[in-house]
Amino acid sequence: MNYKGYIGKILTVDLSTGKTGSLPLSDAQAERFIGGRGLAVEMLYERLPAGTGPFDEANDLLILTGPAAGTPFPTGSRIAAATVSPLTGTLTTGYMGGHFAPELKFAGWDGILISGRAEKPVTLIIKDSAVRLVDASPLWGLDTQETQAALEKQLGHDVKTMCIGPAGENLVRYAAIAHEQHLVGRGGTGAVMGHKNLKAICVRGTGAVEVAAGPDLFLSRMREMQLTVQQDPIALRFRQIGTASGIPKKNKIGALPARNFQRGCFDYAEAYGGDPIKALIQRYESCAQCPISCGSAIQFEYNGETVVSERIEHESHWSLGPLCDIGDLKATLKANDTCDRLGMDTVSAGVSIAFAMEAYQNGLIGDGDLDGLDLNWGSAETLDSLLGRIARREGLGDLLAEGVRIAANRLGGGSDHYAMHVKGLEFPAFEPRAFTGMGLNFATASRGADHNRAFTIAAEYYGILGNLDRFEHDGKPEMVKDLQDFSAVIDSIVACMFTIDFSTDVELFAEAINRITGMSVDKAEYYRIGERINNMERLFNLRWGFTYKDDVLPGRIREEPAASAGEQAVALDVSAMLDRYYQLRGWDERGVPTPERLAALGLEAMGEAL
Amino acid sequence: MQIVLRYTAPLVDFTGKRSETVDVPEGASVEDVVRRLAELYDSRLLKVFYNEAHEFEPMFMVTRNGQVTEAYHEPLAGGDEVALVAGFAGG
Repeated sequence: MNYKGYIGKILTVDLSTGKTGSLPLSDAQAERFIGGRGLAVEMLYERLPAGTGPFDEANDLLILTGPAAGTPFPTGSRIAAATVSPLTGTLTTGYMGGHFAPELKFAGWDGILISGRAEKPVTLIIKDSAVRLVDASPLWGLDTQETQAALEKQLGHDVKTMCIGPAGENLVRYAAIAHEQHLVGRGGTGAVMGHKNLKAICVRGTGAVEVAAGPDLFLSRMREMQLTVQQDPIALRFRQIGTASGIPKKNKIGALPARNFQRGCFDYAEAYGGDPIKALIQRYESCAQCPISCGSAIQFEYNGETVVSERIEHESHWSLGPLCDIGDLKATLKANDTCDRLGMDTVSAGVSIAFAMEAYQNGLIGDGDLDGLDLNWGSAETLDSLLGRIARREGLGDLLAEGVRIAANRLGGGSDHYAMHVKGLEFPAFEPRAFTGMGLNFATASRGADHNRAFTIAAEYYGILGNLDRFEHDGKPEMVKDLQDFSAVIDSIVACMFTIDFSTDVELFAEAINRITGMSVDKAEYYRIGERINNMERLFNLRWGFTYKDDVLPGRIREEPAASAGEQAVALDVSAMLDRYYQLRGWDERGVPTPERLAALGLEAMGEAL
Repeated sequence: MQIVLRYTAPLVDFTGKRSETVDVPEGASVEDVVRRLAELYDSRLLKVFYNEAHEFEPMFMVTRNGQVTEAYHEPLAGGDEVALVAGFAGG
């Protein structure tokens, strides 16, 4: 590896045999895919037989850094986890902050490739080049915080740990991987880790990261970037109020999905804004090399218990609150903590519960299935109990642990109409009928309804750039494609998607890549890399049997006008936007990348394999 | 008097700047400053600061000298820093 920022090798761990080794990371891989998300799709496309299932022994789990991990580039020290998703069957790549990525880099690794399956629960312990697997049976069953505490006691404070909780152990399809108070929430990477009987990964590194630019120039420029981010007024908002303040704003325009997307308004929206939560903050927390410090710990009383947890953010706040018509703030906060401890995606969990509430209203789930639960809209007291049952796959929890797509298939009765997912990934907190660009993004993002693939909301909500109207379709295919390509490289650097809100432009990211690695990436090359990654993910999905017929929104969105949207309450049909989007992407009318487009991106060989 | 304005996305993209100093009459309020911006740039800006009843209701969070404010009609002081912070950051 001639580029700096990288170590040049991936640790390989075969859990079936217990053997460890290393794979080289090449200059070509770094140039073409950067790291993180890009490297994940390149490696898994090459390695996995077509159609490999999430719980097949052939499925790999990749833990990957990017070139900025361990450097002072602001927000660039996050970690990615990638695998075939148990929830969607697509490739899923998720991310989290904290301090794992730099430690792995300091240990001398760009990432970890985990293959096979251990016979019994194990913990992977990495100390620089010393790698071992140890029995994790005493940890099996512990929640994510208990697991980390136990390993810290055993291995010391300097060791960084990622782990699964009971949800991952029980193969809940949206189980998460946790590290500190962060989670790789979406897509079910925790379930794959659980299926492999891998309870935790611990790493301690004593090395360093080299960068290409001379130290004085590099550090002074990184300092400038850090200050730019730190002094941006948005940083203050993230730190003090968090992202929950978006809930009252969306409610005001009738774009806050409630009652499983039946409604666009929620009676308790003001109580679910940022200010009530701000009052509970005990301390602020930061990820490695991040000046935003958007994390914080809150403390509150719930049912006689003092709860200390990570401050809730927008998605979790919505999915465990307004979406289920729950207006008990403390119940929502407790449920968020419960999901984190059990190791479960709050979004998929909340959407699955909302689905269950509607199915119950429609008589598809009977009183006999509830075993004491209350599935009426707004029943806050049900949340914690039902989340526990999902994590343990008990009773109704076993059905909901499958996610809404499978749950709807099993229940029948037309429930697929309101199973709010795309490609199996449950909807996040944005109403496509009120933000049509986000609707197109949901339909086309490779792993399903993922708002972070193209965060169109600010541009659509304010509508002052390019005369965008959030209900109209004009300009949306162009905006979605550009944002998807922009975001793909952020995900491959493994920087924080919050940087989009700082108007952090392409030139700054390209400069960071160049100063760290010694590459010469300009704006055009940046977007080309992003386009390449999106096309690789498309090829992956096509090889795994997905087609253009999967680029579709649920029946509720396609056929029901949005409630509470006033005069512009319309359903959303993305077909016309999709045609234009495929055209922009250089795909044919069936959404298949053309040989010409693949050749332009240097992907001819991958296209031939397809 | 001079007021320092700080922008966040998408106003950074709209104005092409992260911050600037604008001249406004003594005693100008936040609303007056916004109207001045609309003169300097584009009247389309006003649609994100006024509701359908033409009342001043910003779609941005407004801070004055680092503190969140809703006192949009209170006179500012020379040298005040006013930030217009997007309400839809993150997700």
